[in-house]
Amino acid sequence: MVDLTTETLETPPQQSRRPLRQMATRFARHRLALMGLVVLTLMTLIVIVGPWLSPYAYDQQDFALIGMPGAPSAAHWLGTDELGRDAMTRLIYGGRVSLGVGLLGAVISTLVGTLIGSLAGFYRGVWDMLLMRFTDVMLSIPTLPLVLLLSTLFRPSPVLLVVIVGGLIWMGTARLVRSQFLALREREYVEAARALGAGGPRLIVRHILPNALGPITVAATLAVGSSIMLESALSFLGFGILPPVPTWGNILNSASGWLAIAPWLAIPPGLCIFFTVLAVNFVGEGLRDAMEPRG
Amino acid sequence: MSFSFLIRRILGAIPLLFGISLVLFTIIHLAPGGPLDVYADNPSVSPEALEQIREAFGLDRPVPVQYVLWLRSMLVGDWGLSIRTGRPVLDEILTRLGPTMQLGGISMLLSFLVAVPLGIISAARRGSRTDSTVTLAAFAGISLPVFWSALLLQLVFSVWLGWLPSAGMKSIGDGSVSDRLLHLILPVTVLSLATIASWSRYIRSGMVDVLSQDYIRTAYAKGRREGSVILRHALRNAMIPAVTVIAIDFVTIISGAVITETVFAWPGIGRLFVESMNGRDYPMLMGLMMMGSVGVVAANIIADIVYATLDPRIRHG
Repeated sequence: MVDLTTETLETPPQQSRRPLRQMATRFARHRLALMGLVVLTLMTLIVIVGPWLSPYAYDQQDFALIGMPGAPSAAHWLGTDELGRDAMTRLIYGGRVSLGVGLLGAVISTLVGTLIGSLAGFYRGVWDMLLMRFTDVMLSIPTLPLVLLLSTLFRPSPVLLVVIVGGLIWMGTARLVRSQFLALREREYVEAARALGAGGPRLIVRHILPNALGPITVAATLAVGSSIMLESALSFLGFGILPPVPTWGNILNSASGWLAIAPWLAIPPGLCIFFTVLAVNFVGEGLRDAMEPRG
Repeated sequence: MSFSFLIRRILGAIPLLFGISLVLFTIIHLAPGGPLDVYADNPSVSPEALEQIREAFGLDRPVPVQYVLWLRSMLVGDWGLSIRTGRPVLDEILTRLGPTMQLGGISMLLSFLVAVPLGIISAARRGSRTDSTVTLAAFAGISLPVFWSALLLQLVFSVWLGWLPSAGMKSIGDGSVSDRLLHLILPVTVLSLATIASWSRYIRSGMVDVLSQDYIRTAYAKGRREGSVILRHALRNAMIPAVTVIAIDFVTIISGAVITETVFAWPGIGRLFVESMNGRDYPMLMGLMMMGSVGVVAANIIADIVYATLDPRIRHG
């Protein structure tokens, strides 16, 4: 039976608290989101501290073990790769790169998306038309092939690669911010601010943007997942960040050749990508629920 | 379906296609070395020869002229010659399209058949254990890196169990239907997992919205059973938000099966893309990008048409 009544009864009694506190409480009630946050925090800590604790460097080779992947042992917990390097150290160091790319890519995509979306939504008219047509164009070009094309053409450094990744996933954010701006710019408080003499930039930054921060935060969180996935896919295909600098994607690339003999090399980096992206998605969902409570 | 709606929609796509061609053209021209980058790296091509190639390709003309010339040849189907094979780009793409369509088509069909029931059950039993299991599985499916699930399946089913072939479209010297079907299982599974996950979410949320509408209550009130309410009253409206996603994903799969086709050595256009990347075959890459983008635009138009069929307010309003 579909029950149409319980939904409305479930709403908890509203207490008058500060909105941020309220959001935090609602987020904390979302068990999966909380778990996601814990996983991400742990990952970040391991990735920052890990390389110092490891007795090996990420490109340090044990010449006795070169030629074939080595099985996990007490000295090398996750085994060694075909070049005699400690797999665990490379995994942790690769996490630094992958998480870094994910975070910075999301920052760039959020900045670009917010800028384009807010200009289009606030000024409307010709600006809106041009910016949104551009967004449509970027949405129509398949992302992974475009990233691949750009990475052969420009042979980017890791920093440029982050810019490219961020520069290709901002479209959803731009559409979202635009729709927020279109709705908010008609509010009375914006009219009041305008009547007091506030100009366009001030209205955008001081008055409208703060009220659109909720959805932007959710989009930014999800963008971390997209950019980690995109960079991993690129590195997996052999075109992103190139060895010897490890990322989860390029570790998986070299491990795929040894899949039948040394599966222990291919499983951990994939698990790391999977759990990180899953955690990011749960946190995003939790934030969405916390910021835009629906009935 | 009104004819003028169709025409309006198709005409509306022209500026979009124009914009796409402009962006792609700009990218290839901004690159260091430009379109002749491949030759510039080659020590056996002298600077004079390079100059001659430049003239032959019209690259000494002003950039806007080059753009117009390029656009004109794209429109008449002259997409240039592949640097790697020397054959016309368009021919090469068309011969590779078949395997991709086969793989993509079967994956889409499977995804649809699995995702729709999952989404419906999840929405109808909202908050139940089934719902949370489906939701959790969907999140996992969305977060699963395709290249990794492909490797894992290969490891388990080809290497360890030896049940399924790990790569290719058919065994050498075989080509029977059953052999081809066996080769399809792993790549289809990999391609379908993510789409099933994301579509079931869209269908669930569409269904949840629709099930809280008054007309559904009315249907129950007049004594309809749950199955009939869902299938005959709710489903049509619940599908509307999912239509665009499904249409776009179809094209994304066609043009974005890059990873799956590479891992499973599937001779489609995704693999062609990676092969062309390795040979820095720019005419081919541009052709593939152009085709992928046109596909997305076409899918959008088709989605709008399905939209209008499902929801008459759109075509009349």
